[in-house]
Amino acid sequence: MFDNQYFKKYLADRDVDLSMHLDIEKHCQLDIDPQDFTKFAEKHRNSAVVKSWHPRPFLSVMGNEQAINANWIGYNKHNTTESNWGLAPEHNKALKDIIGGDNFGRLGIVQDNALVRLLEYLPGQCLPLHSDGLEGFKRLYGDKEEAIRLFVAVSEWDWGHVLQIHDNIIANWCPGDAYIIPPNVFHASANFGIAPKYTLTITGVKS
Amino acid sequence: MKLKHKISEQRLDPKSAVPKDILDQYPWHWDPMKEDHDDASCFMYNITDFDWKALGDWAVKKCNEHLTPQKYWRYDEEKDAVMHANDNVNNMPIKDQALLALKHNTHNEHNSQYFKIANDEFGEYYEPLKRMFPNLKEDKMGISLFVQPPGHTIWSHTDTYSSFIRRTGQSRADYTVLRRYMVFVRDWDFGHFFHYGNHCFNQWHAGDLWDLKPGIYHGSANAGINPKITIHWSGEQND
Repeated sequence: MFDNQYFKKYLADRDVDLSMHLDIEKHCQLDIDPQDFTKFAEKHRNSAVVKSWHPRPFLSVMGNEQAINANWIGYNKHNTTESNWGLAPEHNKALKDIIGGDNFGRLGIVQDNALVRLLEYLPGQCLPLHSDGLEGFKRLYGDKEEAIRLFVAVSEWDWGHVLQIHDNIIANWCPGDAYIIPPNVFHASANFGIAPKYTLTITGVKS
Repeated sequence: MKLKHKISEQRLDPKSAVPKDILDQYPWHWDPMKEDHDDASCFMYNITDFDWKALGDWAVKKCNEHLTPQKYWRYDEEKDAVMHANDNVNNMPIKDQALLALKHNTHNEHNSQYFKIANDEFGEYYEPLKRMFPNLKEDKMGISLFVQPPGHTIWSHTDTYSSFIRRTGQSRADYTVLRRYMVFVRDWDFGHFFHYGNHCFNQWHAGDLWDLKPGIYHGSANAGINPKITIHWSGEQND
């Protein structure tokens, strides 16, 4: 149960050290209506990608290593299930249209080759500690060194909705709050409340 | 994975599931978007004259002896019963809050597990732990330590002291005299989350003591790689 030696070694090998503070500031505030996204989710529920945390053949070596380590210490389909939309080109385009050009301007991201994903985490589900491999973005647009990943809050903050980026707890957010998740920085999130948590991840290159 | 319930189109208001006497005796803002709150004022101080590391290490060893979390929550659809491990809590004041989490939401036995060490199970630690809160009546005091493994949550709730009711055999709790204190046994770690009202804890230290005042909505999760360990004292305050 508590055999976390492999995950600990994985972090240690990458010099991940909680005692070193990392400054994370809010990047910007988008002007969005959460209902546009929750309606989108309901309309396209049958075509959502429903996934949980486990190794998959199209993930990077890094992504699969993290998934194996997470499964080994108890993460499974019962506590890491996520519904998401955006990997299908028509969903990506529709979500970018909802966000709109003005908001991409605020983000400083090129809209045309951005990948937007709408994530739904129901109560009791979490996203275990991990760093991003940007596999979905790379499959679409190639491996761009300058690609960045952003978190955008969609639903109003509710009790039990949290994101941790390194040693920062991000909570009490308003819809549209955007944060950059720096490359190779470990982060995690959870929903232990009673309301669904909707967020966006936006991956793209700076405009 | 097909859900057994519809996702509510309107925001679920947990206040409606909290017993009326708690709401009356301990009015609280009940607004997650409220910014000018004092929910963090429940921090008391850091208890330094106790070996928290030894207690934490001992607790993990004890869990590893059997590897079976004793506690978890589930909704038994057939019996329309809220179950806390093997206990049917339909007659307990936590019932309506539990239904919100378990029947009308996706908390279940697979994501709500924790190990529990309570009272005389503490062995040599029991007496010194009992002495820490002389303001609580010793004969009714309960001490419990929770080890929350990665991937599990304790859904947001307001304390209703069900364990206290079970332990003392009282028909109902008198919330005017009950109190709960909580100490973090180990330092904060990746993926360890705890919200107390609108305050989200971060970088706590082993030994940090919080006065869990009644009536404030709170919960926790572990999305990290190490167990999260807390210890709680519950009981009646001395007259």
